[in-house]
Amino acid sequence: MSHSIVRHLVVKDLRLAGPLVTGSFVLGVLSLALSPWSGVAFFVGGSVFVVTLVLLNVMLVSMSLMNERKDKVRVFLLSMPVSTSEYFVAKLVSSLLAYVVPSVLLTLAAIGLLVATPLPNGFIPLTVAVSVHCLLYFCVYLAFALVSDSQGWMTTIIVFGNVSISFVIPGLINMTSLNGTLGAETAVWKADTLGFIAIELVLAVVALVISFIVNSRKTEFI
Amino acid sequence: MSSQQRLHALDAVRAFALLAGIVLHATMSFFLPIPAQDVSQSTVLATVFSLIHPWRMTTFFLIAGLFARLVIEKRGTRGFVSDRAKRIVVPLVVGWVILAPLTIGALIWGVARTADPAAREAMSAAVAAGTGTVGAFPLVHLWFLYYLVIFYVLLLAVRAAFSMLDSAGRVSGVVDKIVRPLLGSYVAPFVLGLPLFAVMGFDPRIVLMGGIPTPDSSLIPQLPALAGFGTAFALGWFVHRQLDLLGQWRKRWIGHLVIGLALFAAYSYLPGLKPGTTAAWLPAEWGTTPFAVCYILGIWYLSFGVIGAALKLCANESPARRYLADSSYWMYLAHLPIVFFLAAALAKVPLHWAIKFPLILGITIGVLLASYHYLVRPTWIGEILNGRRYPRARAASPQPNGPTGPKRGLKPRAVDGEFGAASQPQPSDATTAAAAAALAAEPPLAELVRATKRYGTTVALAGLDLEVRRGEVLAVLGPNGAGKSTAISLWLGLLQPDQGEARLMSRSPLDVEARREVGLMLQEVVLQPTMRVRELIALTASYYPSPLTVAQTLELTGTKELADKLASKLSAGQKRQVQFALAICGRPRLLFLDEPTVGLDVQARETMWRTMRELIAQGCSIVLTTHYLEEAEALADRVAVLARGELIALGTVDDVRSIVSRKKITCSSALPVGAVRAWPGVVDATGDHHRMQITTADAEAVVRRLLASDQNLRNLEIKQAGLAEAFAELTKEAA
Repeated sequence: MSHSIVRHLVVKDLRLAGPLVTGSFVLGVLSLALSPWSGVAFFVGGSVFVVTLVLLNVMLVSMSLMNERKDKVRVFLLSMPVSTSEYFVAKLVSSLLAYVVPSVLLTLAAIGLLVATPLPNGFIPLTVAVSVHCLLYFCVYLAFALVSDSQGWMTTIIVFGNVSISFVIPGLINMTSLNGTLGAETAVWKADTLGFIAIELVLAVVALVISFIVNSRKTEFI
Repeated sequence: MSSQQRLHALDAVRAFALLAGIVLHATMSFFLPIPAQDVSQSTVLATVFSLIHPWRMTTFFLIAGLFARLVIEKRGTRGFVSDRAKRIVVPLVVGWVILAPLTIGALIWGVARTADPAAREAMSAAVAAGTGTVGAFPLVHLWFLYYLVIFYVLLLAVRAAFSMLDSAGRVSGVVDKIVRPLLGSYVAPFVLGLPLFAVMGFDPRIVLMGGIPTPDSSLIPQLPALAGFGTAFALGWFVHRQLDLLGQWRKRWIGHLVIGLALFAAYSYLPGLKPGTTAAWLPAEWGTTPFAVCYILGIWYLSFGVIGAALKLCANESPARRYLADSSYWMYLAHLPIVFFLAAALAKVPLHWAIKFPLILGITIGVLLASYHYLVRPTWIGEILNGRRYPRARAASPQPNGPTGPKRGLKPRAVDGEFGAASQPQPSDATTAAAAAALAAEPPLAELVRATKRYGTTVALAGLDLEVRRGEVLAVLGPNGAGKSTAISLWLGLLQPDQGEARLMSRSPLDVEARREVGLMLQEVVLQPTMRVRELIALTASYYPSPLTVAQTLELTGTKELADKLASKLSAGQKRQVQFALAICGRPRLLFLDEPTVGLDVQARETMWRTMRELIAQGCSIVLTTHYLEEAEALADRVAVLARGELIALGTVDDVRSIVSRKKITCSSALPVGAVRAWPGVVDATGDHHRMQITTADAEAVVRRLLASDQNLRNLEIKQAGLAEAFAELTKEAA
């Protein structure tokens, strides 16, 4: 595998994703800035924060992989001295960078906001868990987009991913460990919260590994 | 995927199912008292057993159903009956006479050696009770042949009934319509498992027997086996009616295996590995039903997964696999006495199962392979079992049994006897002849060798042979759907041939090295709208080892004035120019151009042609697909005409012009058509004296001779065949 080719592809993808990443980051910061003002603002800000992560996920993958496939750019690239593994690794790296960097920064900013303002720090585990769930959603979506050409599958993943957030947030809030500690002055990390985060991270890695294995066996690209 | 590849894969999976049976039987003494209770018991081998047991025979019967229809289609009902009698009934009867006593003898010896007196008594009582029942008969492991015979008889009866009652095939059509979407999803096992669930879903024997009870002790057909294996057999039959459905298993093989393995984990966990127990946390009133659900679904998911894996991974012909596939039938028939004897002999030896199990397996397979190679394959036994006998001298290198005759369809059409020979360069003097000979001696830059590609049932390419030589422009022409794009995709490694081979720079097109010297201009590629032309060229050039500079590329393609324009601001013609620049910026030795001049004005087209000629002068080769015949005439050294995936004409541009320059003469003449056809300059003559049609490359000479030979010649008409007409004629013939 040529690192130089991978670097070129990553730089190209990051450059193309730049406006989307910047826009999402700005939107995320605005949502956080809105949060401390009142209870309603906190709710709206939190919702926009999650929507921002989902939007970045869906649009990034659509733009980087699905449109590239539809516009025959992938065929063009793979007809050049670019191997499928270089293409796959470049897509993986660029997509992860374009998503993980802003989402981690936004999550850190959210934690910073909770720490720096009178908002209860008990929300920190919930914020981290929700961010990790959004990361899992992104990784699963990315994994499917890397191996499947089916628009139907992609739509299904988006539907399930979005619905999963609607279940996960109330589920986390009702979890015994978080339920009583959301309003606490300090963040309380219990085993089931950590377990949830660990499982989601493992699943995210598994999704990407499976897509790598499937992709490495692929020989047809049209 | 071609039908031949499917057969290779299905042969492989059938062999796998049979050989897995040998492994399965070799595990038994390490966790069951059959044929002997080994001193070293193994949970691992119990797990192996319960992983193999569910899918093995279901897969076998599914493929048996599929092949049954194939044989009936190929040989008719009478031929089918005769074939099955020879290959199934004879081995069943003869095999039983020889193998059953040996197997039962080994079993009795093993039990007598290892079971304690109480267990021996219990087994004797069970055997005595069994022999007292109606129809009791020790079929041993040959029960599968007995059930095959039952299914064949049922099949012929149902087929005869339907041919009388439903001659229009409406019922089969309805079943086809149900089977198609079912196999196109992951839910098929839920439907296919229903018959077995109805029979065994609430039957505790499904746990006690570790699945479908093996119907090896009675001649009366057992309902669970009929339901489970009969469904598989029927499914195989219906899948053969729509063979493209195999692609669904091929596509979903990983998914099916993953679900199957998850179900395996579940049905292994529910009762535990000790027969007769259930998971403590399940409500007692649920009984064995959860196990039955997981097990029955597991049967189907694992079967589909295994078949799909074979279709994906074993599609190509492999002599070794073919040999094993041929030998598997014999090996399975003969294995059980050997396995049981070895298990009984080793049962009391104080060695770990990890040593004894491979030993049993290794000795058994060694003996069976040797006996197959020397006693079966080259003899009448092999002819009965495999349908053919391999002479001893060739026994080690089997020949493919697929059709090897000439390919179907039109041969590349010879234009004035030049094609084939005309596919070589046509030198006009000694120097060019020498140069042409030198070029011809070089390996082609790209070649397709009997390349076949199908999309479902559509044949995109049918055994295409085509090559691109150094320094030539090969124009690939043909109507839409002729296979031009598929051919280029095979050359570039974007698709893989189902059969045959594609090579690029004497390597596999998947090899990146091969693509370092290739450029591509596609029609539909969208240029990144937010990038400037200069940036696009620089980015594309960065993937190549020694590209042209951006300035050189812009200069060569006449796109300097576009350099700082955003791609989104380019007109359609300008985008084509930029795509051309991207194709050549890597300094390619071979350039693929797909309709390069569509949408270009005259000046831009001239510039592009000039650049192409410069590249050709530098030794670059070009594959040009175009609908503009004049473009092909202006640039191409050779022209290949494709239609319906076949090469229907191949030759130099002059050869093609000779088609174009032909004329058609129509007249009423008393001259015999056969005699006219033999005249010099006449390519073809048809019709009768009322209306004769003559195709000629020398109309004037033929007309003169017609007039001289027949004073009564009437209705003379001469028509010039146009360029488009000639190609329309060629492609119409192929349609």
